[in-house]
Amino acid sequence: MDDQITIQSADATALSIAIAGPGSRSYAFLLDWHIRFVVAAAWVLIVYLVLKFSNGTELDLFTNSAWTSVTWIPALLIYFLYHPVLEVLMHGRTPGKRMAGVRIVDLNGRTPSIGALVLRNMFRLVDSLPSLYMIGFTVCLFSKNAVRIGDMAAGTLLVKEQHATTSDLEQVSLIGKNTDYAPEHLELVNSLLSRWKDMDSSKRLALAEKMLKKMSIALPPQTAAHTYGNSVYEKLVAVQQGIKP
Amino acid sequence: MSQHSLQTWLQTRSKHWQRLNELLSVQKDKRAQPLDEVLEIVQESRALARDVSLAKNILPNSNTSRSLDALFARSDDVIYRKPQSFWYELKKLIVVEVPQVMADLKNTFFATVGLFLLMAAAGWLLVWNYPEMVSLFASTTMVDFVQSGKLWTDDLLNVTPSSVLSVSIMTNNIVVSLFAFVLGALYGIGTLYIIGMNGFMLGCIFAFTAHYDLDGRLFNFVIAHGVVELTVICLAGAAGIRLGEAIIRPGDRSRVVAFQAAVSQAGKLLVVVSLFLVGAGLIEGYVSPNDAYPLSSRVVIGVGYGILLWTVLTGSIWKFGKEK
Repeated sequence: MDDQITIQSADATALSIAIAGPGSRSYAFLLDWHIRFVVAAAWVLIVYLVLKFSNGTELDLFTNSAWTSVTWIPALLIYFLYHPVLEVLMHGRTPGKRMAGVRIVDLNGRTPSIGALVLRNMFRLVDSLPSLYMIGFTVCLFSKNAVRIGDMAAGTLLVKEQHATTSDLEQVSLIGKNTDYAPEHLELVNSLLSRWKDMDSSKRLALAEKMLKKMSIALPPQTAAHTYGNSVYEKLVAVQQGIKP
Repeated sequence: MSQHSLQTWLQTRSKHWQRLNELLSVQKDKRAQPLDEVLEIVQESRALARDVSLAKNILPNSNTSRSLDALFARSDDVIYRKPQSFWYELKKLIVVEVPQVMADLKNTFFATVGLFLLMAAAGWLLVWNYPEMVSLFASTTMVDFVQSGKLWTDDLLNVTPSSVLSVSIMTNNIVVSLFAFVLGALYGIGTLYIIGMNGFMLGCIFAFTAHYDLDGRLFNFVIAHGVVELTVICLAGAAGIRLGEAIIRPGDRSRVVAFQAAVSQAGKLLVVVSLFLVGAGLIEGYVSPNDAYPLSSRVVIGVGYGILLWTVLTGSIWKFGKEK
């Protein structure tokens, strides 16, 4: 189970937010590091090739002032400003954080201010000491809410991105419409179906059979394993959709 | 709640949740959203707040509860998110907030300058009396240059173009200033070390060049960019000391809360002074190593830029504009 924190909203509603642990944090950072490195390197390479072929001569990108300005400087800006700029533009997210399913929020669970995001990034200098983010990672392992020094300084948290998709809400609506089964049972069916593809086939089948029995729904006749599994799955979908199997 | 009531509730309310989700997703540009839709979002969100509490009681740890939590978090973020206008925030920062921070930090700043000067004097005395000690603080190349009667900056532009020099210098200065600030998180010790070492090294180098009668030329090189550069390092140090102070004696607040408050206040100063370091880097790349600029021009540039920094930080530049 994820570490959860409860935040009181302005309407005095208790909101549960799942904290992203050191694993999700490191995964997001590694994704972002690769992205910014590749983009910065691609910039240098593309500009070098364009300049080389348009001039027709070998270029010295290290000492020629004009060429340096268009190659290394933008590449360094991409590399170093990647986090602060994208976190501001994407409301506490970066491409890597989005892929890892995490985002930065303030202590009220909302998008942090520009100032907080800039400060959070300034403190990377301390978090990255002595190398490979050792201080940041160690602090993250032992701190409340798994935050690094930059988060403590800026008053931010890294949390698991929570989505309420249209399909999630449609399923909730189906629970209300389905008067044949108890909502608690339908909740379990929804939960099982949402994780169906990620589960081991024998375990999900055992759980599905148990659930159908509990809801007094007859199991499909025993056939070949694959066909039987599909039949059980179809029964669960029928229950979810409010069709009597 | 009976099964029937629960189902009726879910059936009735789920339409509203779907509508709210639709309203939140429909437009990327929230500023262009019609007023009636915005009001509808507020109303639906308030009703959702009650549903979230109810769902937690009757369907705890369920998908429904989690979905409603996520939907509410999203609507709350959209409703209460502060407007992010970069230029407005920057103007407010420079014109209103930084002068307030500067007024608050003034004494700490002067104390930091005092420490810097004290350490510079110590470095000067050490190397003036024991010139061989300079090898602890300066590279062999620098020492060789000075011993041959030249400054290491003499042929700088023949080796590195001004643009590259400016960028590397401004990056280095910004990093040093940021370090002086953020290392305050280590109970202020990191900041004291950076300020002390910078002052000490400056004193050492001046004393060593003075042995070879090159201190005047070094001053000639430093004056155009040094006024702002050294002031900014001391300002960053003052901000860092404030962080350390917040951790050492947080007062009535917890250490984390006091630290956060100190960072958010002193950090504002860093954003603005870093912008001045960009200018200092350009001066150091284009003016300082260029012999075409006489000492008088360098003094005018250095002191003028320093006055501009000070008037911006204290806010007197904006008062002057208003008076006119």
